[in-house]
Amino acid sequence: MTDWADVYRNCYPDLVRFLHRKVWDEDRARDLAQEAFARALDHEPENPRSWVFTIAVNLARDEARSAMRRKRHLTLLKGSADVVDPTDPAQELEKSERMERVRAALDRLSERDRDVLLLWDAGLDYREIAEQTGLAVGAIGTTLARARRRLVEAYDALEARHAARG
Amino acid sequence: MQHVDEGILHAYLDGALGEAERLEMEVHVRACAACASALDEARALRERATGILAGSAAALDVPPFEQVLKRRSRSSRGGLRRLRVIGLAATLAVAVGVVWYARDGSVAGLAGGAGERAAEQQSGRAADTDSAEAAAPETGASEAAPPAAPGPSSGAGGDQDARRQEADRTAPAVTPSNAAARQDRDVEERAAEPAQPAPAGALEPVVVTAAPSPKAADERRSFAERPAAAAADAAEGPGLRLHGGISSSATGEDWVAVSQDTATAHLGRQPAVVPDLPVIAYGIRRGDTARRVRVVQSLGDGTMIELIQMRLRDLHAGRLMRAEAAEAQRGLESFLPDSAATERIELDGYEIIGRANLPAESLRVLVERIR
Repeated sequence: MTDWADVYRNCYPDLVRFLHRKVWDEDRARDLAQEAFARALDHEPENPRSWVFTIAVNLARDEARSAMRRKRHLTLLKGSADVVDPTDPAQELEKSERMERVRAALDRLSERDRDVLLLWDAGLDYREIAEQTGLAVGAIGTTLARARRRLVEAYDALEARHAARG
Repeated sequence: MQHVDEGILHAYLDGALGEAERLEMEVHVRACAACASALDEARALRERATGILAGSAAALDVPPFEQVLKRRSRSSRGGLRRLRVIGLAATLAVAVGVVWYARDGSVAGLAGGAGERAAEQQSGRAADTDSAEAAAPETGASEAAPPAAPGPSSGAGGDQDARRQEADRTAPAVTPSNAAARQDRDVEERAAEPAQPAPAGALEPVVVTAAPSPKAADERRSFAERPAAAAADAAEGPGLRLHGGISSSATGEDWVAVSQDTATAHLGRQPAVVPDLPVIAYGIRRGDTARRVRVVQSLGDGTMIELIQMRLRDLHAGRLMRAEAAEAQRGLESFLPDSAATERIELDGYEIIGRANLPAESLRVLVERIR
């Protein structure tokens, strides 16, 4: 029988990190992560972690569609993981801008490359990523190599533009 | 010699190769300078990508697992509630449709106060006499149509539960007349629950009640559980729209959303808020020597109030240049409609300017609540 409490403890931070980069809203990412676990509890999957991620991917996709429908134009950039002095607005501003660049760089990847990269970053192994994406296990390394290169190139270009603006 | 594929190099670095494949690759790389160089490049690329992603990592506190369990049980109850609401809505739709039909005079006395039995008889008669429009006295139907009108179906005494049980017993199928009356009783019951009157001075369209309406409570919960998403939802509604107003510099706006702590440090004290309204965001402006802080709060239905606040000392000491003040005003106007009301107060050495797309008197009542 699945020890969901144990899966939750081990998997929740990775899941939030993954979801955060899908929806770019920390509160929403936490909300979706809990929702994914709440929906997973009634099941006995072979790989609980992968199962939770499957639910989360679908929730994030629904979220994105819903956001598209509403043409959401409001972006709330909130404080996040880096230890930022909450009383230093300059530091907080810098962090917000950096996060915005990461987001913009990720947006330049294809959806498949982005998913593979984010799933890897969330701690899934090649086999689990293949299950999630429908790719062959042997193709994950190549996809990751391409995704990493495009992310770095896009991020560097954005950073150069930011530096040029001063 | 065939070189190692880039995907294999990344798989090697990610620890995803099988033992045999890994050994084979290591042997090859030792003997092949090009592949050794490619491996170094792949390693650098991998570390750089990981570093970039780490720059956007979310905070990783893990709430207790019990929250998930509670959430699941809440979801189950929510499902039942949704079913009840759907049932209620369907009943209401049938009732409204039939009453409307009766008001047209198509069904003689259908919505009258003669009770279920009369209604059933009339229904049967109407079905038999398809063209009996002339037989339906229009005035009678319309007079009797309001479900609140006294009559046997609504009962003259006894408590509502008893009446409902009686209605259920005598009319297992929902007939048009009692459906309308039942709906009306439900609405009355619900309306009676938060029966606190609005204080004097509260004007439409913002009715400031002593107790929050059930809808306001839902909104507050929604903001508490997922503030950013709820704010976005609210911004989509009618009334004052935020557009990019509390967004980042990336959208071309000057206000940057910050935490409450940062806003407090920026302003020199805790920013003032209108009591009992959910705070959507605190904002500061880039390079603002006057150190203004903006608080955006929701009034529900997508209507927002913003409170721009700054220390009066800074204003009076002339630190705020005229050009900057004009520019600041333009910044405000960029996302507020021209019709937005403005209300200014001074409080404890601070100036607070409230702005919202409301009648001026409503805004004044709200801003005065800060005192």
